[in-house]
Amino acid sequence: MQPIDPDVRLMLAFRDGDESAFGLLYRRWSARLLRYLERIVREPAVAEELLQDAFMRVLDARERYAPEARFSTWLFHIARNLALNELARARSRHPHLSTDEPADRGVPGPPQLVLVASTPAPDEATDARREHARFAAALAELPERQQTALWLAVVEGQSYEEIAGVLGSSVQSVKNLVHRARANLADRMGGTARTVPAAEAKR
Amino acid sequence: MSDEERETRATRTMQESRATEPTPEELDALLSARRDGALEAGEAARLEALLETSEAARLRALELERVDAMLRALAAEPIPEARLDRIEAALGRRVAETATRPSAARAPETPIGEKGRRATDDASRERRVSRRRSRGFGLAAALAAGVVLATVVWAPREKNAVVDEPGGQGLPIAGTAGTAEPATREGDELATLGRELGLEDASDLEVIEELELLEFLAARERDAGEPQG
Repeated sequence: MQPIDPDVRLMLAFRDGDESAFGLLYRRWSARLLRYLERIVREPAVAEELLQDAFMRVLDARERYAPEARFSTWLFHIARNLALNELARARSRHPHLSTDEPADRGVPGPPQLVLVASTPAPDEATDARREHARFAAALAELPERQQTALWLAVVEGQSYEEIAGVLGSSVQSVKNLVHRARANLADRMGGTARTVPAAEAKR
Repeated sequence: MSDEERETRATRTMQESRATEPTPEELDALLSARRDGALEAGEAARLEALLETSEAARLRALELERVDAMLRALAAEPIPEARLDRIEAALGRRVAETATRPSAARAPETPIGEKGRRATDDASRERRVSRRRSRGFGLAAALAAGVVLATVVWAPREKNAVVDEPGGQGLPIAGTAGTAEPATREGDELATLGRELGLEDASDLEVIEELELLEFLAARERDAGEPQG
């Protein structure tokens, strides 16, 4: 059967000896994976290391690769496991820290977010940057599973089935994670409509 | 209680309340599934009816929509080219250390498909994307060579090869929401090609990436003697 996912075809080409396919895969996925990893581990240098580790895993898996899912599902699964291992290592180094509350780990966010913490100027661009930073902080407060599920659904456009493959959980679980993540973020960003509709629906 | 147990309980609660009015939690679940195109037909009808009558439900829908927009904006932050260079170089060194099998394989110099040809014949576009093109092929080179010449393989790319990088911020990359490039003829051509490829809202570079992929796969098919299409 001819695999439909073009990235799977690239990986198969790489498995079959075409070295350039690995370069294409790296080019297509490295930046996206780096952004995801930064959100999870919240330390740019660590995210860079993990990105390299993820592609080294791809390289190592070359000869035994057998497509069982979309390439992106497999790649994010690898990256997430690496990130969780790193978080566990960080927790063992600092036992008071919690994986579920990455914002409390005391590690800095991506450098571009640090810049917006300065005194706000009264212009729209600054307001937008502040809002952006506030959202990033709210996202970082979410449990890792919620962050990953929402990121893969919204940013990567993955289906619940594909996200379930990354997280190793059920589709229904993913559906719940994504909706809770959205709701939590909406509430933390000042959402006000959450408690009203049930009463209104009676009308 | 574990996460899985909490999720199971939440699901059961949601299912039990389905026959009655939506709770706030259920409304969020419905709106969220709607955003992901994952609503069942019955749920969709029920939600649309609610949105018809409830201002608060509509407001909540907008709040969740805003969450998605902000997340996409966060994910679209450009990554400086120099940073990507540094990561690629480090990975290249690791790959070169790992690759011990000499091979004649190299980046393909194959003719490209019709769509790819139309996009890539333009010399100015070649210049603009030359840096982007070079990313990743160093990995193939490192693998193919299987030698310790990493410092050569991973030499910094020519900085003056890039003509469209205002402020030295680097080109936008895959997965980003696009770029603020001025409207040009070549930009229009890429947009047209993007639409032909089903990439309605893709940036120029995302279209180019797709063309590169098509080019690669078409070459593979030709090499394998498979019919194209």
